[in-house]
Amino acid sequence: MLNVPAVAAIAAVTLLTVAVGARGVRIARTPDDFLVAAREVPPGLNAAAISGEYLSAASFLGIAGLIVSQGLGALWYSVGYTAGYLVLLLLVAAPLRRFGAYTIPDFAEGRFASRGLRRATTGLVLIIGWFYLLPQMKGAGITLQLLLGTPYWVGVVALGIVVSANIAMGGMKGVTFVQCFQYWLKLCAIGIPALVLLAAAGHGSTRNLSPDGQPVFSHRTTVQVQTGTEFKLARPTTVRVTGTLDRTRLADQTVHLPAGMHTAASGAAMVFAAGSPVPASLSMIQPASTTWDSPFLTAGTDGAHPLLATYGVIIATLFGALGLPHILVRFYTNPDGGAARRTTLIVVVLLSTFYLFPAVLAVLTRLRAPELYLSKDPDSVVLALPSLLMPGRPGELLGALVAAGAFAAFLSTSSGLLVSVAGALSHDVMRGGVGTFRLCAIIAGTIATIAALPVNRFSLGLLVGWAFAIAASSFCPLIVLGIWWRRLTWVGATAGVLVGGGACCCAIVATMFGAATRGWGAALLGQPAVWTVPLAFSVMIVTSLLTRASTPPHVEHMMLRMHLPEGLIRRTYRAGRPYSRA
Amino acid sequence: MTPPADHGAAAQASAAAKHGATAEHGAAAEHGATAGQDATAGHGTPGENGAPRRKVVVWQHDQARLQHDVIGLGDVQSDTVYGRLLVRSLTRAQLGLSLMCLAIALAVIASLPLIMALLPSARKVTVAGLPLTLVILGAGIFPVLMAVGWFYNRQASQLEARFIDLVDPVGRRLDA
Repeated sequence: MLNVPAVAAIAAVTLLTVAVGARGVRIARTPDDFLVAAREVPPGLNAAAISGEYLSAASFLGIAGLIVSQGLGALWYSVGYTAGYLVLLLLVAAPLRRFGAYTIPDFAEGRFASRGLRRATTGLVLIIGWFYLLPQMKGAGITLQLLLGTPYWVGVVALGIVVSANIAMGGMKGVTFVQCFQYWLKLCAIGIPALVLLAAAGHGSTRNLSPDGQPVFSHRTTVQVQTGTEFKLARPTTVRVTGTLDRTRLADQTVHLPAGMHTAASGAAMVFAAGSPVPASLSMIQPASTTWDSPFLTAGTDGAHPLLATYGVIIATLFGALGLPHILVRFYTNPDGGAARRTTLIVVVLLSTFYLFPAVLAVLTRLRAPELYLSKDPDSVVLALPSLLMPGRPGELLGALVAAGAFAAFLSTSSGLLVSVAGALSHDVMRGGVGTFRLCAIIAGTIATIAALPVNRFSLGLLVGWAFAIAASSFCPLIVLGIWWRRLTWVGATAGVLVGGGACCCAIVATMFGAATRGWGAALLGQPAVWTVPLAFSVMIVTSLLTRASTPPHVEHMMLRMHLPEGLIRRTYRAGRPYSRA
Repeated sequence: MTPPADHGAAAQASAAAKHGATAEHGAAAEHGATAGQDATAGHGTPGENGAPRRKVVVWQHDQARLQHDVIGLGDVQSDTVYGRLLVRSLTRAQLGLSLMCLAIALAVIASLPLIMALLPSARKVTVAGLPLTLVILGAGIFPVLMAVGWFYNRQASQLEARFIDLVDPVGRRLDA
C-alpha cells in the first residue's frame, strides 16, 4: 500500500517550500517585508501567486469528491470560486489597490477612522482564517492516511508544524515565489493525471452519466475493502465474496444480497458482475430525493429545498472571494490599479483552466472506477483514482503527482492564511514587531492544528464553502460599500459586519452541531449566505442612513484616492497636495 | 470659482513654486497664439500702450492660475466644487460600468438554476453523451466569465484614459 513515489513527491514539495521560505529569511528584515513581498510583482507572476494561494484542498480534492458523492450540482462550487474573482475584478480590484491598505483591518481603519471597526474586523479575520485553515489541515490528514496508512492526526500535525515554522522563518517574501510555482505544480498535478487517465479510458459507455441512472459496474469488478465499511445497495445483487460480510465468514462463496445496508469487514473481497449496482458507503450516499445529474446542491439529510441551497452556495462563493483575509494582501503587490485589474483577469483565466480538471476526474471516477463509492471519505477519491485506473508503475507515478499537488494546495493556502491570521494577531492584538509576528505564527498554527483534529467528518467543500459564507456576509459589504458609497458611516459598517458575520457564524456552528438536519432549517442554516449577505448589506445601509452625523472625515479624499487613475494621483502628489490617510 | 477653505491656496502656491521650471512647454504651446505679439517685446510686460489690457502671462506662467482658467486637474487637486463634480462623475461612470458587467455575469450565472428548475426537461438533454449540466458548469460557463472580465478591463482602462484627457489634456500637461 505504501506508495514510495508519492511519499518522495510530498517530501520534495515540502522541502522546496521550506527551502525557499528559508532563503526569504535573509531578505525579509522589516515588518513590511514580512507582510507584503515588496510591491513590484508583474501581473502574470502575481496572478499565478494569487491562484496558487487560492486553490486549496477544497479545489484540489473537495470538488471532485463532492461531484462524485453528491452529483453534478457540486460543479457550482468551481463556477462560484472562479466567478468570485470576476466579482472581485468588477467591484474592488483597482480601488482597493489604490487605497493601499494591505489587510482588511487596515482598510477598515483607513477608510472609516475607527478603532472599534478595526477591532471587529480583526476578530473576523481570525475567525475566517482559522475556519479556512481547518479544511487544509483535514486534507493533509486524509492524504497521509491514504498514502502512508498513518492515523488522521499525523498529517494534521505535520502540516501544522511545517507551515507555522515556515511562516515564522520567512513570512511572505519567500511565499510569493513559492506560491507562483505552486499554481503551476497544482495545474500539472491535476491536469496531467486527468488527461492521461482520460486518454487511457478511451471511448466507452457513458451509461453511469445517463440521467437518473444509478451507477453500475461496467465490467466484472473485484472490490477490496481496506477498512471495514457499511454500504448500501440500491437493488438486490448477487456477489461472490471472500472474507467477512454481514458478520458471516465466507470463502469464495456466491451470496444473494438484498437491497439495503450491509457491512463488510476489512480485508473482504467482493466480486461484482458487469451491470451490478455499485455499493455506496454512508458518506457517499446522496439524499434520496435527488439524482446524480441534478444541477442543484442540497442541504440536510433529506435534500430539501435544492434551489435555495444552490443559490446559497452561489452567493457565498461569488461574494466571499473578495472578503477572504489572505487575498487582499496580494493585491497590494500590484504596482497600480490598472495592474491590479490585469492581474485579476489573468487569475480568472488561470482558475478557469484549473477547474476543468476536477470535473474530468469526477466523471472518470463515476464511469470507470465506481467502486470508489465504497470509500469512507469522498475527499480521498482523487487520490485513489490513478492507481485504480492504471495498475502498476504508471498509476503509482500519477498518484504521486496528485499527492504532490494536493500537498502544494494545503501548504500554499495554509501559508497565506497563517500570514493573515498571525499578522492580525501580532499587529492588532499584541501590537508587536517581527519577533511577535514569529511567535503569533506559531500560536495561530498550533490553534488551527488542534481545532482541525475533530473536523474530519465534514467534507472539504462544505468547510471551505462556510468560510466563504462568513466572508461574504461580513467583509464583502464592508469593502464594496466602503469603496462605492460615500454615505457609509463607521457605525453602519460596524453594525453590518457584526450582524452579518455573527448571524452567519451562528448558523454554521448550529449546523456543525446538528441543530437542523431536515427541511427549511437545514437549507437556511446549512447555506446561510442566502439570507446573511442581504442582511449584512441592509443593516449597513439602514444604520448608515440613521447615523449620518458619523460619516467619516475626508470621505472625498478617500474616494479620490481609490478612484483616481494613478497618473493623476502622481501629478497631484507632485503638485504638493498629499492625499494622506486621515 | 472660489476654492474651498482647506488647502487650496497653499497647494496652488506650492504648485506654482514647484513647476516654475517645467511649465514652459505646456504654457508656451497653449498661449503662443494669443500672446504672440506681446511676447515679441520680451517677457510680456502688460499695458505698454497705457490702455487697460487683459493680463496675459506668458513665460512665468502661474501654474495654479492656468489650471483655474479651465476646469480640470487644478480643481481635482484643490478639491473645489468642480473638482468634486469631476471625481463624482468618474466614480459614477466606473460604478455604472462595474454594475453593468456584474449584471451580465449574474444574469448568466443566477439564471441557470432557475431555468433548470422551471424546465426539468433541460436536465435530460445530453451533448455527445454528456449531461448538459456537466457541459455548461464544467466548461461552457468559464469562457463567458473570461469574456465579461476582458470587456470590463478594456472599458475601465478607456474610461480612465478619457478622464485623464478631460481633466489634464496632453496640451496642458505639465510633465509632457
